[in-house]
Amino acid sequence: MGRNMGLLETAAATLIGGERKIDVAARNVTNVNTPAYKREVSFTSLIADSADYSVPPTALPQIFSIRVLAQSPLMETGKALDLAINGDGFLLLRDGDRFALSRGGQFDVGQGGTLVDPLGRIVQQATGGDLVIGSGAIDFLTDGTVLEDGSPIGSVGIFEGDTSDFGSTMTEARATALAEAPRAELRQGMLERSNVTLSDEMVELMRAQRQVESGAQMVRAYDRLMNQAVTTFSRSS
Amino acid sequence: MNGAFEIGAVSLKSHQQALEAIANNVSNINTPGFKREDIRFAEVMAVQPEPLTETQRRAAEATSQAGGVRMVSRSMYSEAGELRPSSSLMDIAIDGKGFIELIAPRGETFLWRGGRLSVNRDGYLTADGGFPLRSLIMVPDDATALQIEPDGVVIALSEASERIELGQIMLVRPESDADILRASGGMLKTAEGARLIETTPSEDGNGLIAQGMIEGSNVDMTGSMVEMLILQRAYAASAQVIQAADQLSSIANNLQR
Repeated sequence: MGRNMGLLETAAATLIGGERKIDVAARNVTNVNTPAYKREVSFTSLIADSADYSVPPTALPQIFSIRVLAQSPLMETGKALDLAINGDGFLLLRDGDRFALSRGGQFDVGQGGTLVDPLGRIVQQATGGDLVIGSGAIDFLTDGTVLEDGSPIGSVGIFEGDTSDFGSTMTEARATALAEAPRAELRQGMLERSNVTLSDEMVELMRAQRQVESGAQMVRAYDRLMNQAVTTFSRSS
Repeated sequence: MNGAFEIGAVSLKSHQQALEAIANNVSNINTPGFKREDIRFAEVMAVQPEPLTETQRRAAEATSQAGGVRMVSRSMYSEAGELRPSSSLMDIAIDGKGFIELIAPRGETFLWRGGRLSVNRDGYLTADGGFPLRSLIMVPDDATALQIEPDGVVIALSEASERIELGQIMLVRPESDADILRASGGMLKTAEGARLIETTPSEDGNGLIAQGMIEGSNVDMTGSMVEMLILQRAYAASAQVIQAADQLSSIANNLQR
């Protein structure tokens, strides 16, 4: 009986795994036009807690997803408040009392002269605190220095981060502990393209669908097995 | 329920809104002084803020996370359209980033990028729609023509070719483009509590007033067309995602036969 229970659980894990993969592909497809979006890849990991294969593994396959932070090509837009990062680095955005990393995007002047992204998150300075700009002509230098009509008024922070920081929010303590990225360059009037490839995502969707189908077949196989057992034993009694 | 349904639906909605914004831009390509709407996509993350315990982390992994994309549109007010000569000397345009302030009913303030001037019954200069200029310029009855200098000074020419200075048209600019809202009838108005910076023309980058000129729209036809194609493809891909999610549900429904 133990083995059969394992079969059913494995089938369920296969079904759920396929579903989770479709979610990931859906998030990627949705953001195919979002500047500086970094795609997620999903992978399955099976950790058996015993090397003895005579008993079914108790651990079920788990689906993880990670962000692919590879640089994608920058495209020229010529707009003064479009920012992109060339190299490994992130802008720090403040959302209320939480912080998030961003690879750049289309910014605007928000309340009180702050620089905000389309979701209203405020760009942070290298020394901490919101960046505030005036109504003059704004220039960003590659090291993050902000010039208004030619004179420096502040500096955009470019920080180092990793995949675990990107795509989630962080506390102020974590944000202030970020190190500055020495080799990343800020580019004004440029946007980084989303690194989603539609064809890859469509293949991923198909693969996930087949995975779910095979999970369903496993459930049916289990069902047939059980059915056979029940009919055999009821006949013999 | 499968998160891909919601993500796909949000995506379809955002892309549809983006297509509508572009359609509106393209249909206004010949509207004088029209400012196009730029579309912006931003990723909506549904990631929990740093799960605290191992149990919470596992729970977060086990539930499907929605998320998706949000479309935000911004009107590009500070991007001027091309100035074209017009047949009438009563047409004015602003060669810069400023606006002319108009007195609107109910104490509102309208902003005007220029167009056809006329004189109302009380003798004041008004913009299209009959809204008088905030600078309140009274035109005498015997004036035969008006001359508007680049710095906004309005001079009336009488039949006896006398030149009478009537006043100066001032330009304003809100502190941020976010303070400009679209009002009914294609006019622009200021948001409540917005502060306007008033200057004479040519000051602070507000620009000069050009008489006998009309500002074209700042819509870029080829750019809009390319954007439309890209959006259509993304829309179709989102529909595919929903279809895949639907097939998943159908497989689940057919498990028990």
